[in-house]
Amino acid sequence: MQRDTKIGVIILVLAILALGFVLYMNVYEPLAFLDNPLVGEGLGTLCVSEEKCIDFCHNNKGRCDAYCRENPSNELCDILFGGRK
Amino acid sequence: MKESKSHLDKLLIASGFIGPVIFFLTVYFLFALLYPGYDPTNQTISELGNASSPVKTLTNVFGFSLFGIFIILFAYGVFRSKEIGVLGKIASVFFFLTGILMYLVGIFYSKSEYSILTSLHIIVANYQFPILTIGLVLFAFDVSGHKKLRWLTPIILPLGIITLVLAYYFLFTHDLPNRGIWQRAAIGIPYIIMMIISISLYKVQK
Repeated sequence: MQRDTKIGVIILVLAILALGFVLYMNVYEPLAFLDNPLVGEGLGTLCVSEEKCIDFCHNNKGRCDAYCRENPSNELCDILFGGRK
Repeated sequence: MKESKSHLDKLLIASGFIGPVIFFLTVYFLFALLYPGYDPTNQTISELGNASSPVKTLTNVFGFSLFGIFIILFAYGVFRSKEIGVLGKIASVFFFLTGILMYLVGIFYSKSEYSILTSLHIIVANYQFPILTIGLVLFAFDVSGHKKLRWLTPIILPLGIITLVLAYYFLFTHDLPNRGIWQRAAIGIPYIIMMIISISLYKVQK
């Protein structure tokens, strides 16, 4: 078998294996454990839940405000600050 | 033997054309149409492949990762090409890295807003812009002295600058209206450049 034909076959096999690996990763989701929220459902390390954040931000408005300015995509900021980002 | 080598080289170079065509047809159009309620003008292509998407597996396997494999094959073809000098070989390494990152987009999909997987997704998705651009610029300089390919240089460089501007605008503007369109433009242009390179290199490849 010619050298480049061999290379072609190896490339094809590797490509199929690589695609099969992605299929496996999508069907069985072995990396799902890495998808747990890093900081709970609250505001970073300030508070861990909506209820606790409402209490916390009542007394620490400045810190929560600063967090929301730096993390405008956190949905809880909308709830706490009425849509202001 | 020489004919076989030429055939393999041409197939590898053609990957730089075939890959983007499949990517545009599937990720830009087909998979977006298969996702009920998906708004391509305001939603990014990553959302087609995230954990809650009904076309997640299709998008990640046959959109992102398959495209990554085609980019890697194209990079190998550029690296093997006799038409390319040292800068072009270095450019092919950047193409290769871009392909790896695109391949990994299909693996690092997420559902949470703040998770390790989300961070990994952002890295592999966004770092493609600068890495591919460096590769394209190096390639443009490499072929500037090539008799049959030097016409590519004045095409690649301005399109590369437009890509960086679009990417910057997309990545660093909060609440960008029509962000889906901006992202598609920023991603599409460099891969259109890749298609142009692929076609021209295919033609001159002996």
